[in-house]
Amino acid sequence: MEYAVEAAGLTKHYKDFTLDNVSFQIPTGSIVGFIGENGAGKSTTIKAVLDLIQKDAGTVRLLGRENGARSKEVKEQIGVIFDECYFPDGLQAVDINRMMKHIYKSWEPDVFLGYCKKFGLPERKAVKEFSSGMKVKLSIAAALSHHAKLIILDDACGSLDPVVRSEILDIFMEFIQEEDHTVFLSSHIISDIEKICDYILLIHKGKVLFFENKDSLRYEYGIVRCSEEQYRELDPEMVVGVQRNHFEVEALVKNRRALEEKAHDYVIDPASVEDILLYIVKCSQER
Amino acid sequence: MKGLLLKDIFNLRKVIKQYLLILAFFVCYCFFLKTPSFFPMMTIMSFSMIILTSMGYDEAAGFDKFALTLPVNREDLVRVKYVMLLILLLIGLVVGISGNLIISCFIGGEQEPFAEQFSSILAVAVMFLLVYATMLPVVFKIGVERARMLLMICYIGIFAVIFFGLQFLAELNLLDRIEAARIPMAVGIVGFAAFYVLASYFISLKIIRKREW
Repeated sequence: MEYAVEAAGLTKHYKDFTLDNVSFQIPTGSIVGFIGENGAGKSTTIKAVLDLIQKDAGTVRLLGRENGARSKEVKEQIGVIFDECYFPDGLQAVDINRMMKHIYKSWEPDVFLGYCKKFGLPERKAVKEFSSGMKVKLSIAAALSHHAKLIILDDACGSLDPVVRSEILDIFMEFIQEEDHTVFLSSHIISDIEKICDYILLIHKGKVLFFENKDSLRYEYGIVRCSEEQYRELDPEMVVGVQRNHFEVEALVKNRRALEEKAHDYVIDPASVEDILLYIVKCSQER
Repeated sequence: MKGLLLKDIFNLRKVIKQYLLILAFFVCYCFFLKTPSFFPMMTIMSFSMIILTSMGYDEAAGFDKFALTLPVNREDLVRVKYVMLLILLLIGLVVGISGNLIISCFIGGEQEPFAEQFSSILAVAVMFLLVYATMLPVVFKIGVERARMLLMICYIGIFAVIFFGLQFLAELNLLDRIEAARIPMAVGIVGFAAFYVLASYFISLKIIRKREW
């Protein structure tokens, strides 16, 4: 299998946070959702992948190249969209088009202007007059206009309304139709992740908790609703997280199918990605 | 690098228009003073200051972080600012000298010989080159806003070095000899400035290679 991004042992120490030995491999041709609560280390991981911070340890291969983020040739094939638009305020879309034509060898002016039109971005209006949603759309237009093979989004869709977000997700679905195209999507909007991702990477307190296929996650995890006595009978190895209320115990369990076959008197519902994230994070906070 | 330069030019369009208005004011002021010598100095100062404005805009937008995700490396970010500084100084020099000549023609009367005027203008350009070559590594290190406070110190420092240097030379009765050897002196000063700018460039590179976003 080929990988668009291979991170091994990424470590970065800050005074109050450590990105701790983060490793993952993003298969080429997939959409990977990168989730975790605020401050979990998503942006730090992306910065480490893009060589925007000095790593204390670890290696990154981008599109098969060691330290790919230092190679102009590799960066020709990458589009990055951050949570903010970093184009200077005085620029207009036409200026960005002319500037990018001299930065990317494979820049397609017509494609960029086409996206601007599609997203309703005026060509001759300064970036400072754009709304935050328009600014993100501008960044997306730029990322999609140079034949990129890998798109990395760092919480970019958060400021978009649901209609535009859905439109953007459709564009990424279209983008991924080429078998060598990959999307690495960090987001808080779990519904988006569930909608389009093939794999999910969960990070918590600077550590990767899992990197799994979305379908096997749905298959593997379940929420058991039971009494306290029934809960105590559960194999602790299976329980990932638990929440109690006045009436019952709700536990997130791994290996749901095995439990269903073994114990027929439990009510086991499929767990959504959001449930998995919430249980894991809450459980870890309680510990 | 051409793309980054274009970005600065597009982004500074409004600022350049404002500076042109300021230059028009300087022209009027020269007519009022009946001397053109003020114009080249102000022109060179105004144009060289644009470099900090451009870096300030990049900083406010967070452009450098984004630029490093494009086919641009850290060295390009430094190189483009030094090239831009040289271009701005060159424009300031050309506009300053041309303005000086044109204003002299209109004012008439007895003016300093052109060679003297030219060497004074060149000295001003070199001085501003030294000021900004000192500033750029600081800006790459701590950002424009914090570095702006240091700009004054930098100006005063370099003026002080020149002022006290000249006094020292006068005490040693060397000024006349220097006056006689104007061309070798000019070559020496330009050579020193080139060395200083190169040193500044390499310090900036070292800083940017370690920087985190």
